[in-house]
Amino acid sequence: MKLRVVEIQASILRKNDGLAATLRERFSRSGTLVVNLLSSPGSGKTTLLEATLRALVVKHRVGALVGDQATRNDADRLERSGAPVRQITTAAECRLDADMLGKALAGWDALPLDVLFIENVGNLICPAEYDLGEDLRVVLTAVTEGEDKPLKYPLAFNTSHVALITKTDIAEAVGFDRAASHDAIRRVHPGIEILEVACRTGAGMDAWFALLEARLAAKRAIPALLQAHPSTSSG
Amino acid sequence: MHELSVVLSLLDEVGEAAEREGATRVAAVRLRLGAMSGIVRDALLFSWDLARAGTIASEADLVIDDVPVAVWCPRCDGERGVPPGEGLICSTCGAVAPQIVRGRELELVAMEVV
Repeated sequence: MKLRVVEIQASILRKNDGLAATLRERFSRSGTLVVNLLSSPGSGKTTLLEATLRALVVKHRVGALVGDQATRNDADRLERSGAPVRQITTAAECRLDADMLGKALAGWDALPLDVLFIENVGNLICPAEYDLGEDLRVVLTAVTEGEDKPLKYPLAFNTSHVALITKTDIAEAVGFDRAASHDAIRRVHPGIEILEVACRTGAGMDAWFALLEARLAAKRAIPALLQAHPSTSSG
Repeated sequence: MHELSVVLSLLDEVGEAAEREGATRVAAVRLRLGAMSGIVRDALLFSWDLARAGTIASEADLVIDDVPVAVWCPRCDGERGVPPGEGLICSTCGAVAPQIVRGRELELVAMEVV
């Protein structure tokens, strides 16, 4: 019985990263903009998504995958927007991973989509570690949460492209410190785009929709470019 | 809390590596764990004890190397630590340093096999 040491050096998340890369390629071919929404429970992901699906469904093929540990409530709410919605019940899991996403996409007759929204499980820690093949990671933080959320959960804000401050219609009532909130976000991600929205009043939503439209246009320009110059698409 | 699924992925990696090596038993597994990996050390060890049963690593110790967070400070032009709870701030000069260079590790480094 001789003990020997085997060097390995492999990330435990490499299978997820590999699956996410495959999904990203697939979404790239179909010109689908993929948006991954992250936040604590109660920051307003479902409300934001409801309003967003309603606004975009008239112009684009939009759909949503909703991760929840239990219940179909969020999916039912979102379906009323008229957009196709699939629920991923994660049971004990605290985040979505690329494998769950791939399985949820299998056989979905709503595909291909122009924009696919993924509502992650309400949690600011675990989802930050899992690449889902998204183009845009959006982290939400409500004015009712502490302004120092980014300092407590730096990775979620550090790895996101956009930070949405939600429920701004009640900011004054809850004594929200806007400057402190922006400062905390910038202390973990100086270059991040920050938008402020109130889904109930619609304030700030136009800027959010414009951001999505711009990202979608950019995403579609890539397959078009490859088609125009087939030599660049080989490999 | 996804320590159990992390341990199951780890055991998959361990099993595959053990097979490649023609090992009959795994005596120890060494893991690099970043402070910003979102994984709780004690929960990981607890899950390890549960999940290793019945695998080639059923008696293997899990050895964890903790990796503190380090960022690249653009002002100091070097790797620096971060003060906890204040954001991604260089602990030396106080500049905002959002580029994380260490601390997200969740890596199977090596194992001892028979």
